[in-house]
Amino acid sequence: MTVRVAAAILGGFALTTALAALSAVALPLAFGMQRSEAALLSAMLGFIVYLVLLLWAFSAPSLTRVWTVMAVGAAAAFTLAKVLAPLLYAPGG
Amino acid sequence: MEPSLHPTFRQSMQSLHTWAGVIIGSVLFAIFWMGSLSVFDREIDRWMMPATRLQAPPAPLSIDRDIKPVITPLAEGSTQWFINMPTDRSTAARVSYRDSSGEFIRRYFDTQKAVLLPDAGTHGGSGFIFPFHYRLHIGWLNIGYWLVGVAGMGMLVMLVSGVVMHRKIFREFFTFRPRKQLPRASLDLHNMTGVLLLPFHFVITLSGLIIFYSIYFAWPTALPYGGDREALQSENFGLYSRPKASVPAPMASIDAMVRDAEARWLVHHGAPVKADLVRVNHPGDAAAFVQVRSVFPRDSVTMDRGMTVYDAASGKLLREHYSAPVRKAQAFIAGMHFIQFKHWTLRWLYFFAGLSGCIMIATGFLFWIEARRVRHSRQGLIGAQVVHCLAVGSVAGIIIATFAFFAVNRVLPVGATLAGAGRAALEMWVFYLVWLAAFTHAWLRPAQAWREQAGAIAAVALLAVGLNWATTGHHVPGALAGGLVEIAMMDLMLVAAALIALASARRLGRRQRSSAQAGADPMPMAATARIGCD
Repeated sequence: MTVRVAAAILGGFALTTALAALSAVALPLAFGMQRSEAALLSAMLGFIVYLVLLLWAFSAPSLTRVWTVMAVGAAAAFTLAKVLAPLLYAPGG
Repeated sequence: MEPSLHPTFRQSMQSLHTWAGVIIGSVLFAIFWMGSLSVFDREIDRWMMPATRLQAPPAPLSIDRDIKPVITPLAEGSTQWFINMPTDRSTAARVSYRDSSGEFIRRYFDTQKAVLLPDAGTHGGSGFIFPFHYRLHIGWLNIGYWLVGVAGMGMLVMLVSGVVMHRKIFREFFTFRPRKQLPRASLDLHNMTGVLLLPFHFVITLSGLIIFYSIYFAWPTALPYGGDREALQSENFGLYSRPKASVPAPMASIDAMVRDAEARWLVHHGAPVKADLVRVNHPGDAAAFVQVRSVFPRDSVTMDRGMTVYDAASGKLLREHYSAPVRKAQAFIAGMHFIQFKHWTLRWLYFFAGLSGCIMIATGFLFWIEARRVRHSRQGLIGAQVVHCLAVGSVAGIIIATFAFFAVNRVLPVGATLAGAGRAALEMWVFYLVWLAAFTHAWLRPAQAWREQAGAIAAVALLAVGLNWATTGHHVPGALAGGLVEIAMMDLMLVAAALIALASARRLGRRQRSSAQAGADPMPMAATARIGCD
């Protein structure tokens, strides 16, 4: 039970944060959106994303699947966001 | 209770709703209670600071003539002055600054008599009740904000899971059987307040979370700037900053800057926008700058409609910022939560909607406890006793503590000190000590706790009204006649709270007597399983 709570709350937050970061970086790169606008939009949507993840994590039959999605998703989104971000603030490199 | 034992989505949502509610219910009640009161925080300020009960409409404020000569000696050495212009709700102007010890000082300025009012000696509604609502007075490492954030997300989860677990949700609009057994009546009231106001509860919670996106999503939002938060704030809010020059210099006319700002905003928005906040950074320095802002326009839901920055020495424009589209949307959402715009009907509706949220949370607790009471007393689980103590203390207890906060404000003289704490700090001490006493009382006398604390709510509420009359001479008819509507309303709300508390005490007392006589389980196990608890 505690494991599921941790997966939902902490794993969900990690995945949401990573997705928000990726979105905040990808939107300006892909659509030329102003960075502050993209950041704000990603944050606002992030609350809804987190809500959906929480509901899913508490109801999904397979706890393993929940952990896998949270961990792999967060790692992938985080890495991609970190790789793309310098394109926005370090134009030289 | 392990959700994987509940194969269907509805069952897992039911289990989640029940247990999440028990865990975050206490914090949620505090947030909704303080939030509902915060709708009228300025009116509570007037009640707790009698010197600011100014009836006449404010005379036009001149910052140069009235404020500057007063704040310059007062805020000696401070790096920032804040000047809040008078409004119809706060007829005294407010002058704030951070003193040498880092404490934030608020003083009020009577624009009719053009005089600085003596220190009010209280944090009042806007300084205690309102900040409690969003950070629980826990400043260390922003933990208060995070607890509120967890509770907020939990509330969204509760609302969705609460809807999912109901089979006949529309029938609950119309079902309230107060004469039934307490668990049934509590559940009915819980469902009714939840379902009838579902859109309000969802929007108020989500909008509250969105206000603090920069705390909850600090890292993702700063990532496009390589972590430079100042760059993010500058682009989003038009925040401007520059270091001190450490060279003294006089200040140009701030009134002229305000007039210039309002003229520019009129051109941009096509309608007049009034300045409500002036912030002076590095006052008296050559690098001083003045921010003129319209943070909470009285005639617009959208916040932050104007932000202009001027060089203090020359009055030259440094920055003129207007919100970009997404930021405007966020400012609208935030404005919906802050409800600082002028609309008295909506303001009262928000207040009662917030209180119904309190009822929803409290009856949720009550139902959980009552539906399991006999089973738990048979099993002798300490956990059940803990939940009961927590429920009583966090619902009845915080209300008693709040009314005690109001009452002690009327009892202690403004300059009172004890062990180095001024009256403002002493008021907060009383709040926390009374709250602690409520938890202790609930632990020691569980059977009578609800009833006795409901009685205490009524007693302290009426005491506060009586003390207001005794110390200021204002009572409901007198205040109304004198144009002090807010004072009359505060007293009336306290009296209403007392009456509701007394009625609840009687209802709760009846339940105890009847089940003590019957000696039977008020809700047979089969029934509890059917209506959906563990």
